[in-house]
Amino acid sequence: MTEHNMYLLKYIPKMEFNLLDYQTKMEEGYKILLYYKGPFDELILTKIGNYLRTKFSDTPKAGSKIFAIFIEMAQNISYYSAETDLFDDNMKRYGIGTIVVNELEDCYKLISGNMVTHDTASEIIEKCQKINTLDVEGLRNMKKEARSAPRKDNHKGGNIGLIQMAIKSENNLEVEAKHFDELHSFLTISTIIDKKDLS
Amino acid sequence: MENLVIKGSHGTFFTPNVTFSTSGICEISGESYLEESFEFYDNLIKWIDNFFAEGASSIQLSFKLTYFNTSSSRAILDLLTSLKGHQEEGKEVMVNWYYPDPDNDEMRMEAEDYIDETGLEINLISYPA
Repeated sequence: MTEHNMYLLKYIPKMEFNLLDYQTKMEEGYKILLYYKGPFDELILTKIGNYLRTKFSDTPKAGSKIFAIFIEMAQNISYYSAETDLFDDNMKRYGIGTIVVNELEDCYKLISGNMVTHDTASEIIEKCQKINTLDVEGLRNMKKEARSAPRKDNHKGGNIGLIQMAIKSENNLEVEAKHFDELHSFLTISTIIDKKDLS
Repeated sequence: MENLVIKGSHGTFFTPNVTFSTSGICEISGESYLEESFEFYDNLIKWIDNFFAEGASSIQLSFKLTYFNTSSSRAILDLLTSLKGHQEEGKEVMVNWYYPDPDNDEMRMEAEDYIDETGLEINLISYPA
């Protein structure tokens, strides 16, 4: 642990950890398949990914789509969440966030949430709005365009995760940013996979 | 010049199987979800560059991938673009892309997009999943 982290730990007032704050609303009509909040390190990402695949081994098309969307959501959180793991050794920091997978009567719903700066929130909202105007051909063209752009330093991904999510889900990306503090918004991105598309 | 063989693994990350032979018959198969996608595929690009630099005239590369994430997809594009470059310099380049039927991961679509982006001819070959 670095000195900086020690300092933070020492001076953070001890808070009551209220698990009720983390309780999801109890609503009728859906089944929670996954609810994870925490750092998205590689091990968690792979474990959850494999769990989802195993869970859907009887319906491979659903499994493929849910797995592919989960991986892109999880990598976004891992690389770009503004909240990172304080206890890591600073060599490697993993983004913290939440991913939820629910099953409803006619669809599966994947929801991701994490802290971002206000600027990032605006950028992502704008990108999702553009994505939502496009059909699959339009999305494929947007993906090709983004993929052909020169590599960015400090950019590990293909910069096409959001587009890929929309291609896989065949539905819009719902996106919402809630003001958290002066610097940050809590960004939620969700999409659904219609069961009728899976036969 | 030596063959390049990478044994695929399915641990924390999914590393594809790679067998690049100095005979010019090369294959990438399995799943690709890597910590450092660019580094991994840059290594393959370098091998091919050396292969041609040392006088080889033709290569046949087969893709039999069943899943790759978007950052791998970006790195695979770089590999295909580099092959297109070699072709334009007069080398014989043949690319085969195997996709499962039924095609849950839309692998055929991925190949069609690569054909569009690179101008490379890619043979699309289906196999029963």
